Amino acid sequence: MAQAHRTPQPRAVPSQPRAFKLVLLGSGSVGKSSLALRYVKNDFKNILPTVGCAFFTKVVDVGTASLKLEIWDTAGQEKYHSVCHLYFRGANAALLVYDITSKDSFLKAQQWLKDLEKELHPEEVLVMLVGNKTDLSEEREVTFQEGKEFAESQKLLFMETSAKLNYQVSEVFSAVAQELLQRDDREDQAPQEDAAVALNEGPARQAKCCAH
Amino acid sequence: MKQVAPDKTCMQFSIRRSKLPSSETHPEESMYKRLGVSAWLNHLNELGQVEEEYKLRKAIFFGGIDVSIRGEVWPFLLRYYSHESTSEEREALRLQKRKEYSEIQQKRLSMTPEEHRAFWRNVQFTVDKDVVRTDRNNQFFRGEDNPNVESMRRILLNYAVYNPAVGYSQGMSDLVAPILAEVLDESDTFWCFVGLMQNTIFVSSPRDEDMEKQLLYLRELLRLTHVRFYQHLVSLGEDGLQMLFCHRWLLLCFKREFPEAEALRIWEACWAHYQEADV
Repeated sequence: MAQAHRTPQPRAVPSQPRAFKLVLLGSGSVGKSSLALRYVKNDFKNILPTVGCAFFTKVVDVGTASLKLEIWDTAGQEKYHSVCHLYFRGANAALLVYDITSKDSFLKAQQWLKDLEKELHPEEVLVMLVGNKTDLSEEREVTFQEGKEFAESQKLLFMETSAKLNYQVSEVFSAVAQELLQRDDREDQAPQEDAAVALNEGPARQAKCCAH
Repeated sequence: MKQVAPDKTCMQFSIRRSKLPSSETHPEESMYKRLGVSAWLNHLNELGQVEEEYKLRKAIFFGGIDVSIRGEVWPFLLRYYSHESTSEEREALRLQKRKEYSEIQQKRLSMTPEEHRAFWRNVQFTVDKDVVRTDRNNQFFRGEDNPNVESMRRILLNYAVYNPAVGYSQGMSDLVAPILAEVLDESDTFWCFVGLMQNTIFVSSPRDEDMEKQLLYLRELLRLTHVRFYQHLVSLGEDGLQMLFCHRWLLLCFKREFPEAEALRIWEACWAHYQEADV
C-alpha cells in the first residue's frame, strides 16, 4: 500500500492555503455535526445521527494568512470507535465535544482524550475541549469551572458554545486555526534536522508527518 | 461538488441522466412497469400464494413497487412472509408473531434494575436520542410526541432485546423508519426489520470482516471499471483506499445519498435478490 502520511499542504503554491485536518470527537448527540454545520453553513437544524464519516472544508482567514480546515465528523456511538484509528490518522487538531447538560458526555470526552493519545502524540495534535449546548443552561450538569479545570490539567484549549444560538462557534474554529498557524510557523522557523527533507528542499512541515 | 439539499444536512447525489441509452441498460429494463395493485394480484393464486416467486422478484427488480402496495409486498421481500404462504396462513402468522413480539417487549420491561442500567447505557440512551432525529422530514414522523416515533423507539429497543449481540448501532433507525412508514403495524414492522437486518452488515459491528469484504469488492470494481478514479485514490495514500466516504453507502444502502423515493427504489431492487448467485 502507498505511503499514507498526510501532511498539511506545502506552502509552495501561494494561492492555495495550507490545509489542516480537524476531527470532531465526543459521544452521541452532543452536537458534533451541529457545530460543524453551524460553522460551515451557518445553519442549525435537526440532524440525523452521523453514520460513517462526514466531511466539510472551510477556508479560514487569520489576520493576513488563511488556511483550509478539513473537518472530519463521525458517529459518536462507542461501537463505531473501532474505525477511529483511520479517523485520527494525520489529524492536526481535534475538538473534544461534550454536552454541558450531560455529565456522562463529559466523562466520555475524557475517555476520548485517552483514545486520541493512544493514536497520536499529544504534542502533534492540538486539542480543544468544547462544552456545547449552553442554551440549555438550566439543565446544566457540568459547570464552566469543571470544564476549564479539566482542560487546564490536560493543557487543552477550552470554550463553551451553543451551536443552536450560534454562540462562540466560529470563535472555537478561529482559535484552533490561529493556534495551528502559530505552531506551524514556529516549526518552520525551527532548524531542520532531517537531512533528507533538506535535500528535497521540501517544506519543514513535511518532515513531521503524522504520529506512528 | 455535490449540493446540500435544502431540507437535508447531508449531501445527496443528483441523478443526471434519468434515461440511459439502450446500449447501457439491461435488455429487459424497459419491459417492466412499476408493480401496481392489479399486477400484484396477478402474481397471487386464489389462496393468496405467490405463484412464481422468481417472476415476482424479477418484476420488482426491474420495475419497483407502487407506493400503494409497498406495505403489502415488502413483508415478502423481507422474508417475514414466505412466498408459499396462503392468505390464511399469513393471518395466523401475524397473530402468532404479535404474541412473540409482546413477549419480547415484556422481557424488556421486566429487567432487573441492574440489567436495566446496562441496557440504558448500551442501547436506550442512544436510541432515545436517535429516534427523535430520524426522518423528521417525513410527515409520518413529524411533530412533538408523535406516536409513530414512539413505535420506532419500541421496535429498536425490543430488537436489541431480541438480538443482544447486535443491540443497537447508529444507523439502524434510518433502516427501520421507512419500513414502519409503509408497513404501519408495529409488530409486523419489527419482524420485517428482523428480516432486513439479516441482510445488512449491521449484523456484525460497523467495521469488521463484512465491511472489509464489501470495501474490497468495491475497490476491485473501481480498479476494473474506473481506473482513473482508482488511481486517484491510490495517489491519496492509504486514506484514499480506506474509502471512509462510502462506509455510509454500504451501511444504509444509499438511504442518505439519494432522495427518499430513489433510495427506496434501490432498496426494493436489492431486496428482490434478482440475479444473485445465492439467495
